[in-house]
Amino acid sequence: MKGSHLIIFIPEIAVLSLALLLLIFDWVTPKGKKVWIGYFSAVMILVFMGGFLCLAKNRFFPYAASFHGFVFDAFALYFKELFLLVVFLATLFSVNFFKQDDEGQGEYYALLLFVTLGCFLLVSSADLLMLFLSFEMMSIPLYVMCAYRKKDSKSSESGLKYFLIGAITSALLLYGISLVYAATGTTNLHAFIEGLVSANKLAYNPILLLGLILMLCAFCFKIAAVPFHMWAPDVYEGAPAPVVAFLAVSPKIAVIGLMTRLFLAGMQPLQPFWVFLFAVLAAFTMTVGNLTALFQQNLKRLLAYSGIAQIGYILVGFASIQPFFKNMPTLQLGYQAILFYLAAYLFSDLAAFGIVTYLSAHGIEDVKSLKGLAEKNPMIAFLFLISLLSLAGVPPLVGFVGKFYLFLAAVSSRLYWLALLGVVNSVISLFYYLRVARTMYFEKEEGVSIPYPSFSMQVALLVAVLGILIIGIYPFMITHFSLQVLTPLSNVPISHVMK
Amino acid sequence: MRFYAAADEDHKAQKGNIYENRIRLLMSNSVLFYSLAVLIISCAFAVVFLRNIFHAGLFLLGAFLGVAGIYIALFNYFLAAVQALVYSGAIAVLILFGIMLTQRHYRKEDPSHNAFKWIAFVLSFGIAGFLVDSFRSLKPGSIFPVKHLLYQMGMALMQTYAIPFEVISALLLVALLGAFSLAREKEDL
Repeated sequence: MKGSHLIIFIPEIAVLSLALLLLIFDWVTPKGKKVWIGYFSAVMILVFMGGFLCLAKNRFFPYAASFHGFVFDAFALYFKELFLLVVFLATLFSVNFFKQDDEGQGEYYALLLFVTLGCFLLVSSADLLMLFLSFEMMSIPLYVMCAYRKKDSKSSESGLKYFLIGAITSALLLYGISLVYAATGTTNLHAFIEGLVSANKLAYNPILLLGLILMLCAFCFKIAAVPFHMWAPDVYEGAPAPVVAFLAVSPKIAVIGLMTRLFLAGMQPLQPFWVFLFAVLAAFTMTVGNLTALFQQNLKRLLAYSGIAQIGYILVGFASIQPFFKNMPTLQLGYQAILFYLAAYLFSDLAAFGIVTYLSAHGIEDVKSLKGLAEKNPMIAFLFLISLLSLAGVPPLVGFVGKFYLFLAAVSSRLYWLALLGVVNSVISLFYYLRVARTMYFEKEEGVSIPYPSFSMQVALLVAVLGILIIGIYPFMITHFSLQVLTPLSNVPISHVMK
Repeated sequence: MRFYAAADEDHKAQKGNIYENRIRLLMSNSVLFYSLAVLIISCAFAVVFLRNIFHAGLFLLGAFLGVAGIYIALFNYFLAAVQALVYSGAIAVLILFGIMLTQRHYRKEDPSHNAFKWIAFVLSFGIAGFLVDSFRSLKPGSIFPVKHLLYQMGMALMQTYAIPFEVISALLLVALLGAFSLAREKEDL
């Protein structure tokens, strides 16, 4: 490996350096000025986003390279842009949530970036060892961040619960990895995938199957798919709101990205097995998430169950693997729909959680206490309405387009029952989203008005809501990009290995 | 059993005194392996079923040492030393200290009742049986000592696994940072 090859690690190096820089800044910044660390971090993240886009527009874009267990390609870059967007918004939410003179802010923003680094590595990993390490890198800071309010017993409970579930997840993942290694004799995903594709009989190796199932269980824990979803509402309820906004989006997107890479590139011989598995998982996740959300009173719990349901919709994409055009067998609509829906989920969920962050800083945690919000603060109520409608999938918002693509993929793979179930679930979800809207708009309550958010919070909410509107009306900017990103992935497992 | 089979094939292929020595090695090795396996599994059962959490911790130490023994049976003395130092020396002792320092807050005999006990029992023994059955299909690898083992491991760490190696350093930093901010006395945020 020459020094010039370090260029493929630029995104990781940039984020890691920023995190370390924030730690130093925390040390030199006087008390009461710590908020500026957050602003600095947000600005730098914006710079990185622009820089990586230039990288993509540059001659690097079609270029894919790997270095022993690390892959740099357009697919990874797409996800890295998404993670930067999430951490940008989460940083701005946090700046507005925490008080000026709160302690430990520098570390907090650094921890946010470390999680992002873990997500970066996860979507770039091509080695089981790398996969496990980045999985841990993604999880460990989040345990700490959930328990960041030490005097709040609910926050501590949330951190402890997330830690215990995370430990079980890691154990499952490691056990799965060890079995896969025993069956294939390699930790390299490329070699492993090539082995799978070339020797069909390897696919029916029971040890390999058990290992893969255990790994899948670990992934399902992280994305909170039913029946591995029990932790989500409790953790979300107790953790500080901006942490939840981050926790509900970044790790889920990262794990979905990793699964896309694994299943699109290599699991062809096992297809009949996992298509059914994913269809059942998706059906249960959608239905249980939506039905349980109907009875929630706490806003964060409501969004937790809604997030579970959203993951269910995404899993529909994994089940729909039939090629869209007969002459283009590598082009699978399901994966394209997944990539699009991830962006849709990001904007809608972050907008909703941003408003929940803002409300919880003013002491509003329940659906009941939203009464009369439309009069107290019409802007917040309107933005919340838009984000909830997008989550429910109402046109012309981005959630609708995302669901349309997913169900279209299901129909074109002849999974009519799954598409129908998805549509029924969307209708069910409208009930609880509209219940929140009704409480905001039609139930009156006299009370003190809630102040307008600060400038940075307005910027963050505006970015999220504009994303919902613009991509909803003009979705082709993302679909075009996702097509470009996916095509090379499905063709070649190995592109170019550096020595 | 598979060790005998491997040795038998070796023996058929090339005869000679060296190979008789090898067979002796293999036989003594499999005796070592099976006795260690019995030790580890019984320790593991003790960890799961003992009510006294301190005794469970002690048996965990035994299981760790047994695994170190397996490494010795595989002629990997370096990993054996690391296993003994890190798992038995650091982790198990840390667990025991943790129990000792926090025990007065809990009842000594932890009832540990679990509604899903029987489901877990059936599931874990099912998976164990499945694994025992399917591991028969695996081909045995070589159990003879690898030359220049430490050198090879070092090269692998610095070349093939250079990136994961670097990631570990960042991961340790994160863990330290997290532990620090959780254990600090001042109220955060």
